[in-house]
Amino acid sequence: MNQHHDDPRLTAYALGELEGRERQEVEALLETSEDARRHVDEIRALAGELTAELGVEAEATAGLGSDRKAVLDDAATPVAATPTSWSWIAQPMIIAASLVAVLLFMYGLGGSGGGGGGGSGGGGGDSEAGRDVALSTEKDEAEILDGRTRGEAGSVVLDRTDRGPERTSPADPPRGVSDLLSQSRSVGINVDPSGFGSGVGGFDGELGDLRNHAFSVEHADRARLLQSVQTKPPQVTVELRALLGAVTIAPTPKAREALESFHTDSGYLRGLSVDELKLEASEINRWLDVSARGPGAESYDTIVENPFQLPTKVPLSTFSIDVDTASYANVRRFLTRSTLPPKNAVRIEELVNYFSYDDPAPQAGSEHPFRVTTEVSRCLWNLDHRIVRIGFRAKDIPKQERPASNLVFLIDVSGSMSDQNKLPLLKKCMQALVKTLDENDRVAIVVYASASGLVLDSTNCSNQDDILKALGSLSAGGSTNGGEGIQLAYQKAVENFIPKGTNRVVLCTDGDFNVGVTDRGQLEELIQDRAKTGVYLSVLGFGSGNLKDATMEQLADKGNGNYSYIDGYDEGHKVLVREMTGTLLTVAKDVKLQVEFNPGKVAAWRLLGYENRVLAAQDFNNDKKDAGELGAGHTICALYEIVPAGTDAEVPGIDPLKYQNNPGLSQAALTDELLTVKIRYKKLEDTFSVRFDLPVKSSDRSFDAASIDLRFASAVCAFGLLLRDSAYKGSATWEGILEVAKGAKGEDTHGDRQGFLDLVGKAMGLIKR
Amino acid sequence: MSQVGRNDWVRSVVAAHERPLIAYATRLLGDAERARDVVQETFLRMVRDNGQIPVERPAAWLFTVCRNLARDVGRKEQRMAPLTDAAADREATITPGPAQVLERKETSHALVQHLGHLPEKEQEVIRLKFQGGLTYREISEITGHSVTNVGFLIHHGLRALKERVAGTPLKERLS
Repeated sequence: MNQHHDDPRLTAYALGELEGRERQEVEALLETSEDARRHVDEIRALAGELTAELGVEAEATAGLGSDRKAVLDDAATPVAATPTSWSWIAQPMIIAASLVAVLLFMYGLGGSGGGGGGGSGGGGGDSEAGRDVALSTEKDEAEILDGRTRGEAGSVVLDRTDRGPERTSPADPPRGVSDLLSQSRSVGINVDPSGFGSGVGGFDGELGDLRNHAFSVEHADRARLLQSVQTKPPQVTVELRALLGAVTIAPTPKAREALESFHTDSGYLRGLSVDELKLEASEINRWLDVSARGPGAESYDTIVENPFQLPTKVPLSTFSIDVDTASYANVRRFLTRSTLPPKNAVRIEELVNYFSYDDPAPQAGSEHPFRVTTEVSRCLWNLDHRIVRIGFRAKDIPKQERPASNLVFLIDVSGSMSDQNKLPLLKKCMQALVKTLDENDRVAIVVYASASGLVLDSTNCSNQDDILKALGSLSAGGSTNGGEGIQLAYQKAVENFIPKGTNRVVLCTDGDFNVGVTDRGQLEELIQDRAKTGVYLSVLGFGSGNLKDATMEQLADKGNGNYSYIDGYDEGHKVLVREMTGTLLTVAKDVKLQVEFNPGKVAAWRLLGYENRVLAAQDFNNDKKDAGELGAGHTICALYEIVPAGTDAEVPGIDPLKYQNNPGLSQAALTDELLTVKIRYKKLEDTFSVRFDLPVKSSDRSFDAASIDLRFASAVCAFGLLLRDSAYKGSATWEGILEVAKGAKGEDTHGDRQGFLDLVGKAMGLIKR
Repeated sequence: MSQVGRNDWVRSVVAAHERPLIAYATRLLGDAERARDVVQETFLRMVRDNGQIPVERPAAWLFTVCRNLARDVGRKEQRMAPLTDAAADREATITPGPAQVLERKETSHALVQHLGHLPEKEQEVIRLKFQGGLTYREISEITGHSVTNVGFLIHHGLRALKERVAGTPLKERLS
């Protein structure tokens, strides 16, 4: 049965009663336990029904009665009160007013409910009058939608009763959702079933087929519904959950009607087919979960920022280069929704590397497939410090020269993927990609959900129509579960392996993945194992709220691939099409970077970001140790903050040493070399690495004199430091970032840097609010 | 609060809470009419109160007073006059019509009926939670059970309800 059946904490959590540590504990449990999640859902559904039924019961209870209320009114009104003070005898008028409000709600829902006469009392004549008002106001949808109608309509009626102008509202308080719900349920009961059917169109006929259906739920609609629900008492949310549960379990016309007319802002649900409604219901539920738990609901590994190091103690900094950029898109998603991202969602190196930099490409005939450029200037957020930018630029490969690609898309088609910004978005991006591929390339599509299967066997891209047709047939439905999706995908990739080509499995998911190997360790092993055969893995993350950010990144990492978060068509196009030759075409693998600092010039150093890419110093020369790959045309940027030696600058976090001062330095330390960058990488076909070194001279150059790219990268980095509220943010300010980024926009052909300026503005507004 | 504002407030509080309070007191007393008296007395105390009631969230206060009054009444036996026909007629104006009541009864019986079979304590906290819209803490203050105990009673009660209705699939109950 149910192992969480007997945990009162889960019940308390479901009812919104847990706080603090207990709440976190339950949330942690919910992350891992399907069983617990189901239990919480069940409790919520039950609670919703119970609230509704008890609400109906209370409504059916006779009230106090006018005599008793007259006594109350006398008691409430001092003798000296104004003669116009109206007594409880005027009660019917108030009820009429509140009935108008209720009717407005019902009619405002979209009108088609029709014949809803289930108000909570009031004489027939009053209710007729109320209906007239309601109907005449109905046209003005904007007013109904923004919720003011309730008060305004009430004041119209009350003005007719010659009440003083100081009364602006009928003082009809929200009587709990049960009130609203019982109203809307009554509507369903009163409706003639045949009329209902013809109005909405046969549900059953629409079942199951989303393929050619434009399923367009605007986020704004959903957001509006949730926002309005959340400003109401918690029971309203409970009610909503119950209705959502009802629609998911049994989408009868009545259940549907109750949900659609639950609240003014739920009117958008009306146009949806049954399947769409179910999917939307699960999405609303997910949003509710996320907003109830706050942004922390998405799971991010904790990032402990790299500290300052003394070159006398730790002379070497070693890490694997990284081309992931998902964090930027994710941060953008949060800021666009007017929420600050959780600190651990902010990965500085991913923000910085989202942008491409204008470093020179390797010269024709260069022995290395990429070129490294370095630059030093004063540091934006601490002018006493220096910033060192190390830029990688991989060679470009013209389209006609690029090797053939063998791509296997492994696509999550579970129900949660149906959201507009998931599967439909992926399809659009893939269509654009397929159109740029040609007879050298192959594409296969494997899907996984409740079952996995081959939708399209590996197909030559000259048969574009077949691929596009297969793409068009994809639709989301079912839960993510089982199947041997990932093995199947790798199998297809291996079967169609193109020597010297790009062989890649592209996993597309919103994070809820169970691709046939449930154990995470086993999954990583499989991916790592296949990567050795030359089939790499790219992970594309979609959607929100259920993101297992760290898992996805680590999987891509194991598979020698990259992880990108796709939050919109522009981003999908950037990753799949614009960067295709980069993301898909590797020019160097196991690229590692080691920097040796000169203690004669460097008092302390700190690597910005790359926290999860740091390697041990001895890994640098170990060819068995995996590292990142570099794709054609890619630029990568790493930043070091340096405290120069021989200044009075303090090293943040470290006291001056009492016994050491310039211990034995080599001859080289006496030169003006600040540091040496050492790079190791493997050519594609090789199993051994190549190394080259690049000394960097110290410089006192002012920040303003630095290159556009160094200034822009610094601005992005400072943005990350502020979002993380980093201990190392120094004197960074939002205004400073804006100013620097504006001055360092460069050509910005794709508008990426302008987009950054907008984001800084958003973040600034949010923080200062 | 101005007098006008206070009147509005009193009216809105009465409108919002009279029925849940009457339903609650009816359970405690086993008699709807005595329950109305108790609820009227509760509201009278509210009207006379000066500053003790949390204006934003008066429910917990109302239920506490109502509960204490109901207990007193329960102890003192039938002291109040039974409902006369005349009084019953006067009430008709604000009572839902027979058709509406019938209609509601059709839709809402399963859970409430099952609820009636639970132990008194569980019924009470479940009503306070789902009919009164109160938090565990507020229920704890009203009933004197600890917050943990309230959580346990609600949890246990819901579980029992779930088991009771398990014979009737949710699907049927909704259609």
